[in-house]
Amino acid sequence: MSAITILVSVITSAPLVALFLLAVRYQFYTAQQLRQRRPPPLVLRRQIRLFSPKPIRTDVHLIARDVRPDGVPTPCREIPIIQLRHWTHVLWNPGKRRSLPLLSIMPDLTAISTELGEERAAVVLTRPYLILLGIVSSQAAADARACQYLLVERFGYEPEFDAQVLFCSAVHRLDRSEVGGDRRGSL
Amino acid sequence: MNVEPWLNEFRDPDYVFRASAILLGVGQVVTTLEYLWMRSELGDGGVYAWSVLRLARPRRHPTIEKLRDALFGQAGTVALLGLRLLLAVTLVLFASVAWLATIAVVALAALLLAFNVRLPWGMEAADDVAVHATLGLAAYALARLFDAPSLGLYYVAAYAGLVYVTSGVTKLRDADWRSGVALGWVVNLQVFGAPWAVEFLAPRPRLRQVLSWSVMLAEVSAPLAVLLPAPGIALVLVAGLAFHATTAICMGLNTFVWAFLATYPAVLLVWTTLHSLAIHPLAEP
Repeated sequence: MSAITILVSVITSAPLVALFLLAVRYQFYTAQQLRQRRPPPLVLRRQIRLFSPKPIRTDVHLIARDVRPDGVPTPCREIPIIQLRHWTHVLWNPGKRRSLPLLSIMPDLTAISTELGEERAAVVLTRPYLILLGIVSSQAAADARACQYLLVERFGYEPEFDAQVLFCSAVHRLDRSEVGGDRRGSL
Repeated sequence: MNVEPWLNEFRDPDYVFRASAILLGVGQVVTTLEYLWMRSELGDGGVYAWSVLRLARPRRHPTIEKLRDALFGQAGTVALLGLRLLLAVTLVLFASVAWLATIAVVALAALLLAFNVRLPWGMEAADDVAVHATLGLAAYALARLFDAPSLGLYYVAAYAGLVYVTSGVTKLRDADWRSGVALGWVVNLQVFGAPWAVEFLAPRPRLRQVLSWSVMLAEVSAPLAVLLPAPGIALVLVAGLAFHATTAICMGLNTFVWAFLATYPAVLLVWTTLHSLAIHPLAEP
């Protein structure tokens, strides 16, 4: 083998060996250690558990309500996130690209809220909170003055269990944004 | 049925690359089309709104930020998805054209890394496996240009083994998985389960336990499959395909089938390599 061949072999193989060893090491971190560590560059390492050790037990639903111009809140309504199973999902399931993020957003939001402790009010500045506020405010009624959302969990297809409120947002005034006339929530 | 002659095709790394690239490409076509279908989620008011997600990115030089916002804003991301679709289709159709497949797989690897940054949540294990399979294939394709050996394809097989073993071990350590209760929880979810699966499994705790143990033992022992004779490895891979097809039907995990299937040719390369060594051991010095 020529020197160039050896060099190319090393360049194309050594990073993969290192990446694999780091990926193996990453699987041993506890949840607490992971929270303290900075996310790996390019998110190249993840803990892949495939529903283990404890799979989630509940579905999270996004519930919203608006405040009408007369100051009266509307009844709560669910913003559809989860698509019920359909046979076509075996090949084509775009709906999960909307529902899966919520599975990450919900624990992120509750973990951040707990970490903030006394300064819990600062949760309104976090990404999960703002993403949900964006979804809710973009679907508010045209004449709504403010909006608010709840994250609610339910035990899937078991109707006998009542829904539990996981998180309740503040009420946010809705303003006409300067760009494109979109409705935006203000903090 | 004698499967050995067919399995021996996977002795050729180029054959393995082509098979993996086609399967990976099909999976990427499906994934990319799903994101394009949901492209409104990439803009303001969506779950992937860049106007919010950019807040967590470190501040850079204004020119870099402008470029980043242009690429990762809704229009830019849709354009990147279009490019990703083109590259995936190229892999499916032209996996046997070495130079074109190399360009496609290297560019796809770079794009998938960019999407790792752009879409910080909502990624499935299948997306992660696809990223690492693409990296392995890209390393192999680049080395092939110089006729240099590379560990790229072996990396793909090793990563698949890591994923299976990790999830098997973590399940085995949990009493709820060992008792079959956890499986009931998963199929009961609206987001991952199915009403017909709940109706079928809820009154059958023993079946849930048997299925749980089957999955756990299969996951933990998956890497040992490369030590089996030809019918054994063929049976294991067919069982793996059946498992992922079942999760696609019951749980809607459609892209898992393609992502994991794309690693199987590399697993067969490891199998043929090991068996060649066993049949023709290296000469002692």
